Amino acid sequence: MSASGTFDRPRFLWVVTGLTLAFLFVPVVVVTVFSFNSSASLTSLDGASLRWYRAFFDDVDLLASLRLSVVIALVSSVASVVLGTLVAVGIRRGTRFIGGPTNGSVFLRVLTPETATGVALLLLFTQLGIPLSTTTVVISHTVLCLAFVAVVVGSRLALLSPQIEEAAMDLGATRLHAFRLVALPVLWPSIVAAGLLAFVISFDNFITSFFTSGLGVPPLPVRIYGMLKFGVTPVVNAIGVLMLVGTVVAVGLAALLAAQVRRLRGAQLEEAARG
Amino acid sequence: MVDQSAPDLPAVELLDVSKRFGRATVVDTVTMSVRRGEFFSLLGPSGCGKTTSLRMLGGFVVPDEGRIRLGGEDVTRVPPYKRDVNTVFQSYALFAHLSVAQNVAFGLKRRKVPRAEISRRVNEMLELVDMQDRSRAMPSELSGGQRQRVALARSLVTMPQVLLLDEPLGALDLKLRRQMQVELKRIQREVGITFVYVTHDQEEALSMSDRIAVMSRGRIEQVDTPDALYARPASAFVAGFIGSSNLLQVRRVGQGAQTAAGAVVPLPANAPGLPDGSAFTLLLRPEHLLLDPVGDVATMRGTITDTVFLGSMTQYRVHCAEGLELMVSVPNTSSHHAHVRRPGTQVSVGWQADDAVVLPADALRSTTSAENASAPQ
Repeated sequence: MSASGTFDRPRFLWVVTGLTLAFLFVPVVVVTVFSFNSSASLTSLDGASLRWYRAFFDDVDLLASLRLSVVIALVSSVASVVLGTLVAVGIRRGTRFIGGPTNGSVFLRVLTPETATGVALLLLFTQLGIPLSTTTVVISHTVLCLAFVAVVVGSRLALLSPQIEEAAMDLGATRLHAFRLVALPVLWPSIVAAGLLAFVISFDNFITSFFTSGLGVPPLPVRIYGMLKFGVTPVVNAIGVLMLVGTVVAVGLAALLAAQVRRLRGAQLEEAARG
Repeated sequence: MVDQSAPDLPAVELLDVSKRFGRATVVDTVTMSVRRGEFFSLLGPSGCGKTTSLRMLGGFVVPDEGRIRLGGEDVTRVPPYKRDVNTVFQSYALFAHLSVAQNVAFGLKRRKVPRAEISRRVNEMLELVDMQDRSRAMPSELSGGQRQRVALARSLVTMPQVLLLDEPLGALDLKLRRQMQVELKRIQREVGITFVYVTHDQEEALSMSDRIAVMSRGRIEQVDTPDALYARPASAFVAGFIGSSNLLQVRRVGQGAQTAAGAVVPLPANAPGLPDGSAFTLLLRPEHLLLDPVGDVATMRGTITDTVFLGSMTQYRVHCAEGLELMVSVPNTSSHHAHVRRPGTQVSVGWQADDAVVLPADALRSTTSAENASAPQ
């Protein structure tokens, strides 16, 4: 099949590929280019400058929002990774009676329109008399990300035969030990991936944050939305580029970390083989 | 074979054990006992309850009723990690993130065995299964047969009282399977551990086991040595499942038996006293049937409908005048070789009266499935 593909491949394929890539990356390129624009225009370029970056780092309110968004994303991604992994284990290894419906409800959570979730959370907090604050945003983001984590970790766990854990129990490990010793090492990469996904979902979340944040410092996306009401400034471009760079760096670090862990494990193997 | 009069307690006992999943009774009041050091097989078609029985021995399934004892001690509700039995899983279930040596060391580490001793015992065990050269390999780098050996070493290294094996050779090709059968038997003799082996492959069970329990629909049909199961099956099901067989539905008439079509055939001398007119099944092994026999043997006339050359023997299918289909196996000796019979040949089929086996009447319930099972391979 691949052999015939080498001479049967239509010429226009690379045009399609090029258009697809352009479609994906032109907005990113536009934002990046205009973030270095020296004038306030969003349509014409006037020489390069770091003016808008400086403006961002000089804006105390924006920086406060950025810090808040990072904190919210960190806390809610850690919380959702812990809870979501537990949910996934419960679904895949627990009683079918409970696991089945739980699995369905988790998928339902992924598919629920965020606006509905946002309004529902707002109503819930109001009914319970809980004042909106950073805490309510963190709780809401955790709820939002938990389902994604459960799906990502659960799909990896579904591929892992329960016999692996049974074998560990057979050889003297308790159920908990068996999970930690033979399932967790295999699940790690998917747990890290789920954590990154949760971080990104939380960090640039607008809808849920909008409904559940109080009167204090708003998370960054909510702040940006507020700024747009008074007209678009190129600072938004600079923020976009910084978020993009931050994400790429975070993903790159995660990949490096994973490689490092693999190398360390290899070294341990060598040592074990010698010892 | 293990000495039957051994005074010590059985290695494994199941006493009236039942297990239901939903409405299906998978294991139905099973009672059996495995002797110390024995190679014991649970043999039966898929869904007969053999794997569930094994999982109950391993502690992964708790029986609904009955008791399980290991070396005389009740372990019915003891979790797997506190039972002195290990399992070799059908899928091998090797730990993918650990090397061969680390896989084998796993059980010893859980038992807090000192490092030096772990290393020594792991090496010994890898040598026993002939994997000492691959101790640093990862499971993903091994072939199916090698994984099998590692799984075996991992389960044996802690020297459990009993080793449970769940169709361990199922995923291997025929040649490797034969080779591993011999290996397994050798390893079992060397370590002296009781093996309980689950398989649906009668040849595998016959060639390795000291004793076999034949299971069908959650019940044990018969427990006996391989040769006794073959020579004296207790039911039509066992007769059909072990080896190939001709099963004749007959009625007692005088000193003989009458087939549905009216032919009267003699009964073996040791036939139980059955009342006149009672229905039962007569088992005739294909290799006990003779073509165109001379002398004092019972005969039926028929036409050969199929001739299959199988190397060491030739298998004939004979359509008898009485509406019976009989399978006849003739060893390919030089004299037989000279006149192999072609389909269409008229023959007479006979047998020594004592070669027929009378199957008890209560076994008739499973005749249909046995007939299916005895179809030529």
